[in-house]
Amino acid sequence: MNVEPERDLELAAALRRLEGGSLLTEVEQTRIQNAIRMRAREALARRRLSPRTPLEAIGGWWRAALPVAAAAALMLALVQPWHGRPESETATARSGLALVVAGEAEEHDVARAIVGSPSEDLWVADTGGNGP
Amino acid sequence: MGEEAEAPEPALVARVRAGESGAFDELVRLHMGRVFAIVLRVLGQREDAEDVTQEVFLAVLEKLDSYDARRPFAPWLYRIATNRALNARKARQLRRMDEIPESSRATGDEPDVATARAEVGERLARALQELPDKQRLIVKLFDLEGFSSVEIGSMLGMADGTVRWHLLKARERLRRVLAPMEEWHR
Repeated sequence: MNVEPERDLELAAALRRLEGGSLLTEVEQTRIQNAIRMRAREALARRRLSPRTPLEAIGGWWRAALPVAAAAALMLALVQPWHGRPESETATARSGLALVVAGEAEEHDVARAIVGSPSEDLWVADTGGNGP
Repeated sequence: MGEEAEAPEPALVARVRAGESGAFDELVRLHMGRVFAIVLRVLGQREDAEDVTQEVFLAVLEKLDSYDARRPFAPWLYRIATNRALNARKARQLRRMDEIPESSRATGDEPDVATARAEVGERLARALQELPDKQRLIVKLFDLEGFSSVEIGSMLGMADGTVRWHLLKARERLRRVLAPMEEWHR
């Protein structure tokens, strides 16, 4: 069953006598082609008027892969929110936040957790701490 | 058949996607014969096959953005043609042809040979109608139209091995009917 069978020419001839051939005459070809041309006019015009968007230009499964890739990137960003900051800073911020959330923080700790340490504020450092 | 399937089509398809009428005409011209053959073998009537062939190419125009240009165009088109034809047959509930076409009667044979031919023709027509739909279509597409089992498998959504099995079964049944005719010729 793995080998392509030969054509059965006798059977083919008998079937052709019974069913007729499938070759199109020139007249039929012209008739069909003209009918298709007429009926396709609008659809072709629509295609000319509205060029495809970049998303439509991406064919096949790549189109489906785009939203998946975007979702994956977003998830990655959420899972690693402190990525890129020094470890000591993130630890401080985390512990500060933890205290605030737990309701155990002093007033200045709450402020620090929200706006950060004054020493990290370059503008405040430049003006000697006399900012507006 | 290979000539049509191997045509350098990615550029042509891209031009049709951009709405170029000339490119669409060319695409239709290249494939119309094969599409018509598939549809005719499903429907059995030329007039209906002409209508459905038109619908196939209009459907191609609508669906062209979902076609993956890295794959060959012909199998994708033939699948659309097969589905459209099968749907049309279902929708229109075409009458089964139980009449022998004119072409099989007027053969110019001696009267007794012609009579034998007509009898075998009738029995063959009946045997063909008694085949399961899939087997009937497969034997027509393979032996009459010269499509390969891989191409037919792609059209009907089945493995090529399954196509060859159906072909074998269909031939067995039709051959039984043809046997008396072969003896007559000996």
